[in-house]
Amino acid sequence: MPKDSKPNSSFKYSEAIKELQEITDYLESSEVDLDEAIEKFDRGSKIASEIENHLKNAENKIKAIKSKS
Amino acid sequence: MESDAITVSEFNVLLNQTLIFAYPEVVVEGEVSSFKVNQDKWIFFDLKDEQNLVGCFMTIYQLKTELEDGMLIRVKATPQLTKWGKFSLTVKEVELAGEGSLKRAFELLKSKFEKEGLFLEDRKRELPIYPEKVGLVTSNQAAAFNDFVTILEDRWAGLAVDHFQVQVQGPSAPEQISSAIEYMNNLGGYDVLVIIRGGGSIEDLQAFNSEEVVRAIYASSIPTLVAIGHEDDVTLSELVADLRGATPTDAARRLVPDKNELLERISAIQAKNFNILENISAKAQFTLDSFYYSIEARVNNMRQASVDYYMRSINSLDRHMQAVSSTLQLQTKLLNSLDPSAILSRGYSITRVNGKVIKSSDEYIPGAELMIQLHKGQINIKADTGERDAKRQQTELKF
Repeated sequence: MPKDSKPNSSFKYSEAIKELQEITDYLESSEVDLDEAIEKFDRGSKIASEIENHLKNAENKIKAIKSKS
Repeated sequence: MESDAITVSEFNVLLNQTLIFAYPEVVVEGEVSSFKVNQDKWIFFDLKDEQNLVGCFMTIYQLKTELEDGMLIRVKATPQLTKWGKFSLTVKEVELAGEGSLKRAFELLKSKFEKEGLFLEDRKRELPIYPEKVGLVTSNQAAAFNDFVTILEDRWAGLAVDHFQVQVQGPSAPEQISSAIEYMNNLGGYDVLVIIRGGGSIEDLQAFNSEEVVRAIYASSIPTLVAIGHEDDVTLSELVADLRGATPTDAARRLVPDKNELLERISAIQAKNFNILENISAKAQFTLDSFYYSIEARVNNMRQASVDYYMRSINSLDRHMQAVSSTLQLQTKLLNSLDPSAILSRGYSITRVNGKVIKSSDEYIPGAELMIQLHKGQINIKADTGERDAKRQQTELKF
């Protein structure tokens, strides 16, 4: 993973993992087109890299909030 | 002496002023007896020890805990002489004293909530697997806060935590905690509300067994994760929560997945996808190969078929030629047998007059030039001029 790759703030784990799962489901289905399978696999690799990038580079942010009352 | 006399009412006022001056607020510990509630508003009970007893009065709105006879409590109160001449303590706050009372109050409240259905399993909501924003209600002065944050750092990344600072024990804790829960619900945008506190005595954890906090958690529209004290400490707040963590550390583990496990899982998914892709590719290759083989086989078949056809044609032609040849030979023999020269060779001759073949004596012309053709050579003679009949007879005799 390149050092300068900063996690995208709009990234959502749940959506990324859901898409990855959908790709796996497609590949596991019986009706698969080879070209589309390669395309989907590439997309899956990209998502996997994004997830990895976030897990390694994103930070948890703890913020104190105060009641207005 | 008579001139110093005061009225009863004056005496009462004087005494009360003296009491307030001397004891503006007194904390008294004792055991509850003769507990009763009048008109759902007024509470009366006696506080006693082995030798003495004092009457107490308070409103139901001031009572924040379950109370019954036999409980050891501490009351914060003001002593007062009523206009009926009865001495009592006007109670402002009640605090349960001693483990026995706390446990008893816990059981009473638990039983009440159970009857109301606050702890039912089927009302518990699932927490999101990958939360993005969570609300945290606790005190940052305690180890629980640091434990929680440390585990979050170890396990996950990119989580936004809004921390609402509250006291987690003492008289103001229930109100602060319930207000924080309500406030965060009003703010909205949280995936989970986390309420934690480290270990302590049953008195220390009392806020989380209070009706106020339990009802606030129950009312939360945000799913709740509550972890109070050690694993063996089960508070009512944890029972009403959507999910309980045994400890604050456990709460952090339940809140977020482990990033290392997820990375392994992602890696396994990709490896599996790659295998599937390889299989798909191999299948496609196999299909392609099968196609080539089938085409090749077809071409071979066609080639073989054309060779066969060619051979059959040749054979057929050959047979035909033989048949023709055989017929030709027969015809040749027949033709040979019909050749007039062959007949002549056997001694026959042909007689012509003016090129026309004479086949009968009727065709005899006296004095005509006869040409007689023999097997070899010909003879030209002149017929005599005699009568046709006589000559015919002679001719017949000659033959």
